[in-house]
Amino acid sequence: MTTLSKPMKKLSPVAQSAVDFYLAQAKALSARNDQPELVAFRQSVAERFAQQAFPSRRDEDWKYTPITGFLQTHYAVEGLAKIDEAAIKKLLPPFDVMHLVFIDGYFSERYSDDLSELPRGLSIEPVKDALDFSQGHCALMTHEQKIQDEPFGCLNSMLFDDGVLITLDPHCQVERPILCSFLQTQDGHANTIRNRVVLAHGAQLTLIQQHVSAQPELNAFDNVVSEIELAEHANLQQIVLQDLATQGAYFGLQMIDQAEKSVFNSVYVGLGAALSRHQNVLMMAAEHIESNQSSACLASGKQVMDTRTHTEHQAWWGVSRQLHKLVLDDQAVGVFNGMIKVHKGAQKTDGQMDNKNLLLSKTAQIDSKPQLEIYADDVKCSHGSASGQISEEQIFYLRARGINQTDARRLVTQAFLLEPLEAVSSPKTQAWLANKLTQKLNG
Amino acid sequence: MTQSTQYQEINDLLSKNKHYKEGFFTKTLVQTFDKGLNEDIVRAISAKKSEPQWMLDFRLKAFKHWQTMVEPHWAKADYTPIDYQDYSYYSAPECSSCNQACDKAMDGKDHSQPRMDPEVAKAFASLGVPIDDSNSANIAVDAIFDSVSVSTTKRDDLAKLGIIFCSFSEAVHDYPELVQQYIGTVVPYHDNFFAALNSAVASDGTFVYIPPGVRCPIDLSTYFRINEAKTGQFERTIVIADKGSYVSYLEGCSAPVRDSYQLHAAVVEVIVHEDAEVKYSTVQNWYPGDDDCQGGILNFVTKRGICEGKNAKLSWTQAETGSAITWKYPSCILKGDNSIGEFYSVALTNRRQQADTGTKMIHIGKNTRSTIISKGLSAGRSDNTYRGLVKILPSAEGARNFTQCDSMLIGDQCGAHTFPYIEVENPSAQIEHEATTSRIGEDQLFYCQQRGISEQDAISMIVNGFCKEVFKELPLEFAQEAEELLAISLEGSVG
Repeated sequence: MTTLSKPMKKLSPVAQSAVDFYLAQAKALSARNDQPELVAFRQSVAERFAQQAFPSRRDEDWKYTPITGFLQTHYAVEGLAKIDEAAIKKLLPPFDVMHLVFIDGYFSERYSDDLSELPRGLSIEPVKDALDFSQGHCALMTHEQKIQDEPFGCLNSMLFDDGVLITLDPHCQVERPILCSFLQTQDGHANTIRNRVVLAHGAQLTLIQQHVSAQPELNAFDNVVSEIELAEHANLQQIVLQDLATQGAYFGLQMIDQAEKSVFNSVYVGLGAALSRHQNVLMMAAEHIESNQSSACLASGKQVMDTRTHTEHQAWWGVSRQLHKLVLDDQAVGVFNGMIKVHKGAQKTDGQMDNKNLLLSKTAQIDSKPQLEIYADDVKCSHGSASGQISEEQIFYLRARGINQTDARRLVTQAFLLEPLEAVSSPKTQAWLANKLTQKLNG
Repeated sequence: MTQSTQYQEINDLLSKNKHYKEGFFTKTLVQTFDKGLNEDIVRAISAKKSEPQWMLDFRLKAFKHWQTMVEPHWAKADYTPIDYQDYSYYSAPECSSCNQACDKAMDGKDHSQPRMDPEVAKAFASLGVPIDDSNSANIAVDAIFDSVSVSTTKRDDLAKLGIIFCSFSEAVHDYPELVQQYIGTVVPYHDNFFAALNSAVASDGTFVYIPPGVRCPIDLSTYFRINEAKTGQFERTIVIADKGSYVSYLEGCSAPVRDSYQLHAAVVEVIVHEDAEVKYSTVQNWYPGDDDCQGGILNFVTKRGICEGKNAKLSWTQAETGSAITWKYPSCILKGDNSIGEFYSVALTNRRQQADTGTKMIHIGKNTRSTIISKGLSAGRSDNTYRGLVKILPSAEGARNFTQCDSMLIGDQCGAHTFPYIEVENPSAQIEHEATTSRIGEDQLFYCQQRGISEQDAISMIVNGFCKEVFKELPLEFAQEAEELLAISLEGSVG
């Protein structure tokens, strides 16, 4: 992730005007909140952002992810939400959840479940309330430097104003999944969200995050940064569903820290947005850690979908599993970038990374970069990547059994795409996600 | 048992054993240009070789472009930026008898071997390189000593078949049309930093042309020797296989033990026409430097081949054991339909060596196929990186690629990395990539030792087994040499 001394960037006029625009947005945001510490913080990030600016295709990490289209729309932080009761109802899955609703990046008390009657040991707080620098806001920013190293992380630091802070006390096991719905209701709006999830010793939680648009023609921009901390023996099951309208943009960055014997299981499902990028930075800093990162993405039209993981094994006996599947139709572009880094001394590591891609059309494109960086000798690490089209043999097999061409193709594609969902432990949640994917596939 | 003690014995052995048998230095009269690089030096090199105007123009164009470029540092190798003014860009042994630099270009068409400095001849003899035409070896050799080619054997026999096998400087004089037609077509002078540098100060190299329908009966080979301290070697090799021809080309190299880094930046261009096949094998054994890799060779090589016509086949095989830093990506541009590209590599790093090597397979034509087998072995405190690109363009209907990268770690202080880039723009392509990492297991060693095989032999057996898929692609003598090299370089490093 390190880049060597970069020469001063020459920005294109489009990129420069976008940088100027977002700097002005940060000023506007600061004008709304006169807390001096916060204003100073934003100012310092703004200085960095002005220097760092937006990446171009010359940057190794952005070689395959074109953002020029994104830069052409300026997404504002101001605006009035247009809330539609029906849209809120549609957000709920067919199983019991604790529902938190965020409208255009801000927590909505009215539409969310009551936060006053939470199970013991669980605390949920909107970041806006926690955003009190005098009360030690620093607690929100363990990864601040690393977040700001990422261009969109830096933008997030500069513009975030709300999000969710979830903390679980030791041994607190929450049965009911928490569902955070991030709803877009305004065209041209920037929703900048900062979350933090902390699980204490032995705590357990299922967290579902969904990004949805209220109308199908909405062009908005979701920029999420989540910090996740898992203490010893903690167990987090996480699902991120990105189901935005196909015009918008989604940038998700997750910084995950795991302590001894903790379990992190994350599944990302990508369906919408013109440009989306979901990125996990996972540090497995202690012994006997288990992690699973999977993703299923379905891109069509001119969508660009980018999934990336950076997994660092820093201690003995770590196990990491990854399965990333991309299905690409029309002129869609898929990008996968995975890195497993095994530190010196992280012996007995078992790391596996698989990336499989299916190209459904002649014009679809996939760029894959599965990487290994290994400094310990007694490890089991492998990665695999395969790309291709639907096998004619499989189609023939199905057709020989009286299934028509279209259905046969759909069946094969569906079977291919749904495999990463097997990592979801609850059958109901799995079915809900599968349903979302098949809906798009059949639509 | 801690990890560090596990390899103790082996590391002890290794530290005792660091012979680099090619590390001797030849004392001979040499003509060496002063250190430094500027336009005058470029002109002087060209004048020294009495090159025609077009070659000088090519050099100057490249030099001007090089001055605008920055040294690339994206490879996974740590080195201080190179001071290009601290190297000499031309060095040639002088004939003691005629007091003239042994520049064969000056001898014009004189095909009798120029009188060679006996010291240079001795050097090649002790390296085991047959530079005498009278030898019966089934191989033709072009021997390059610092900046010039000192001998090319069997050329008359080959000429009868219409095969051109000569040094690059000679080719510039004798076959200017061919050189002009092909130079810079596969690796343009502006391709990258080191290719531009090479184009500007290219010393010598080998030129091979196989006419249509000819199957070259013997292996062609070039041996590169860097002798002078603080000189750079910049050879330029062009191999052209015309329609339906076949050639197997080998390349070997070594350098004396020095205490300062030496620079080697070569460019190799291979052009394979319709139905032709080229097998290009390299055993790279440049001086890796002392225990900290001080004084080793900095090896920055651009090798690229193009399968121009239908059914062409280009196969790269390399055994990389030397150099302090290796930066090398032999590539195939598969332009002709049904053409085949292959890359077989064994890269071994020990001590503090750093190797960043791999390949690029660019699929353009229909039904093009490529295979990549890369075996990386790292020992000591070294870093071994595979970096490769497989690119399928929309026109490459039915393309197929298989990539396998296996790394073996020997010791817990070294690193093995895999950075593959896969870009697919055609759905009918089938791309597979797999990579694994392993080590020599104690159980494997125990099994062998229990059956009376010494630890060293067991290690060598396991390592050779690991590399077998690549070694079987090397021509016989080379395979043996590579195996021996591997044994020497690894001696004592494994536990």
